[in-house]
Amino acid sequence: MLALDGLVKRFGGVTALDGVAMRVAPGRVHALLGENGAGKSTLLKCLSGTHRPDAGTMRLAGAAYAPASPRAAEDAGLRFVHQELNLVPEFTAYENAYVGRAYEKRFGLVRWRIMRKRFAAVRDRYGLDLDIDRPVGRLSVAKCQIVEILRALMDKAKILVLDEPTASLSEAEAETLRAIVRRLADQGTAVIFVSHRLDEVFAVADDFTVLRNGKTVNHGRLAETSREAIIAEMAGQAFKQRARAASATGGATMLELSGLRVAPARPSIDLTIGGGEIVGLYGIVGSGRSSLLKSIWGANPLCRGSLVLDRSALPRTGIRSRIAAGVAYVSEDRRNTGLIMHQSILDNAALPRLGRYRAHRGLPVLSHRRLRAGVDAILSGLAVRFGRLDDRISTLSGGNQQKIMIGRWLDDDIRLLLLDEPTRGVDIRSKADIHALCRARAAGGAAVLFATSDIEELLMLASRIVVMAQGAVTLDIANSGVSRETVLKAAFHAPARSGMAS
Amino acid sequence: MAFSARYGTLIGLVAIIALFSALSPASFAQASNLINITQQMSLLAIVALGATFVMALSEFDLSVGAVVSMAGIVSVSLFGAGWGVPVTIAATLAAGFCVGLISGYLIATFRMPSFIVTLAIGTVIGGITFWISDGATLFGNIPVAFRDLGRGTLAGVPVLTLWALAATVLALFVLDWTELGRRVLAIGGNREAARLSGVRVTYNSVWAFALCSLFAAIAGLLLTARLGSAHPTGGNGFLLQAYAAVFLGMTAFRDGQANALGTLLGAAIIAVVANGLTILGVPNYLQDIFTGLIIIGAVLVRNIGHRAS
Repeated sequence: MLALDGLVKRFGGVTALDGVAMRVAPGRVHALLGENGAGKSTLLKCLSGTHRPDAGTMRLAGAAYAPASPRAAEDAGLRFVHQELNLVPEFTAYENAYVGRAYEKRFGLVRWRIMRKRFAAVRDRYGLDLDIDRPVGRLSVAKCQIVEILRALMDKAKILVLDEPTASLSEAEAETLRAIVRRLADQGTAVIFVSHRLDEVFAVADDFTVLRNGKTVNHGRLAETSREAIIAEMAGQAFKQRARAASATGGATMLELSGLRVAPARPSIDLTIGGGEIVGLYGIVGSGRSSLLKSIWGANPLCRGSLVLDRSALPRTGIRSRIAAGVAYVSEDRRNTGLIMHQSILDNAALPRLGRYRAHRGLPVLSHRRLRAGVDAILSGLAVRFGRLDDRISTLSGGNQQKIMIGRWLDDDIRLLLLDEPTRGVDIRSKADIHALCRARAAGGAAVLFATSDIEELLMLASRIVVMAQGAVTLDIANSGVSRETVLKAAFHAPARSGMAS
Repeated sequence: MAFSARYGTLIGLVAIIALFSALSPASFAQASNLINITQQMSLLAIVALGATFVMALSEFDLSVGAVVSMAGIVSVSLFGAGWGVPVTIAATLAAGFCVGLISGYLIATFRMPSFIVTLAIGTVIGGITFWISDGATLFGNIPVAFRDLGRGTLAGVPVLTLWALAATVLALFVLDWTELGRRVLAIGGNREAARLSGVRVTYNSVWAFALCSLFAAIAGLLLTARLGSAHPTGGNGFLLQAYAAVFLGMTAFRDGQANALGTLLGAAIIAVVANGLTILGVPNYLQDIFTGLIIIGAVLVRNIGHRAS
């Protein structure tokens, strides 16, 4: 169906694709694998007509394929579901589905009813649960992802490309999505599936291509390879995900939350974290993980309850009081609430601790020399590869951006590290680096509280596991011999309203 | 960032100067005229440098023109009431600063759109200015010491030019070398990311608006000193030109960010075009058309450049 050979794409001096070959067959799900920065995104952008390759050939169903624009790629029968949502928040699901598509019209007037019906039919065909009359801005991220997918499925595609489609979905939703993908493939569609979750890849895909540094390093059938082999190929050297270190038991209490409520109608939360503990916070989307972390950080005003860090009470709100007390926070969404993408690496890395780089302590005047030296020190501790400090941070891979987002906070007197999905969409090597950072901090006596949607990560990194569902803590248990099932059961547990939980 | 993107706007200015020099070697290309241009652009530059702080925040302050006018009327009124020069200057600058404090507070605290708030504040200020002056041009008895702040030369350089240079250095310093400036740029780049990184959004935003108004008040004082009078709408014309200068400046040096040197360059382009066209005898309305087209052209070139990279 699709044959790529010798694809090369350069950006300035950087070679993003360096001879990629790939064969995608109809009726099969093809997993495109590789670390962040391996060239997956660039390859997809060549397919979608956003970039034009500098060399190499692309053939679609035997004919030369060289889309000049995303529209041309669509006309050729390719459909893309991108990682980021591209929806108009004020529009309903079906209105969104028709953005960029010919409207149903009669006498020049748009026939909304027909369009709504057609979209509803597609939804029902795949048995998805979605309110199509609500503005998508009021739907959850997961539902928005479903809207994006349905939009791509509105008419029959030759090739469907899914870029990390399950990153923000709950386990159940991801399962539904994988069933849809299988069904489409069985009906003859070729599916290109990008995911960092190898368990998922093995569950849904037939074939695979592994990219590393812009080159195809291996391809074939998943049935004939193993997880370990794929990881080794992506990483480029014998590379094992480190097993969980002996679980540290908490030292003295570092953080104590009691009777915490983020809103009057939400359940109250009690949680204690000891110094040296790595507490993994698991929950499906909407379970209240993120708002709990933001509340501890002082970014969301607390409604009720008390918050004690290392024996001194913190005010209910105010980020600066947290910073002064040695707390650090990393947001789950680096693009929208984490980094300033069009500003430089230097500006982003220095932002939280600008006051450190003064020329004289008493004056709020910066020393550019200190600024550079300080940021250099941050980056050298993180094994981040970059060109110049003045380059935009968006030129770095997602893994490196994420490392900077965490590393810019790290400092000897950090006592509590709050990380919301610190490894989402990050390649395996960066993930390991980030895990190592967490362990090092915990070993140094800090308390680490990280939220994740990845059970494997939870079981691997956490010394204690806390699960939330519908705003309440439904499980709080030391991580020794905890099974996936236990975690999932707690995550889908509906807590009783009147505090009967657990 | 490529050389052409970084210095393209500067090259544009040089090209415009070269063009006018070729068309009018006898009048335009004289040293005296070029020095004169630096004086003509000075007040615009000061207002635009103030607006740069607010643009760095990705907001607008549409009250700057009204504040320029207000500063003139307030100062002449105070002189009329017998106030001395230092006290009058201090009071006028404080008034300007407070206008920015109010706008900034409303915008940052209540998340009101800056476009609307400052439009309304500007209207209120305009009304008050009219009220104080009864709509008339005020001559008052402006002290000579005050007038000297806006006229004459120092070592052959017009005083106003020196003021504009000082304002440029100050704006450059604040934006590039202080925590305030870096934080304002961070808020302008991504408000929520800045907030979650511990940047005090309200505090820094209010400062940006206050500095913007302060610069407008300085320009209003200097305008009054130069003219020896104040008109209740005398500064209103600065508004659009100031933002034109900032936008032109955003195409230079700093990859789409508001920056002080860029703003100075933008003001220079506007002043050179106005001066050159006047010397060539081109009527005023054509000057407006040219200025508008140059701004569109500069932004267009930058955006095309961005897409190519």
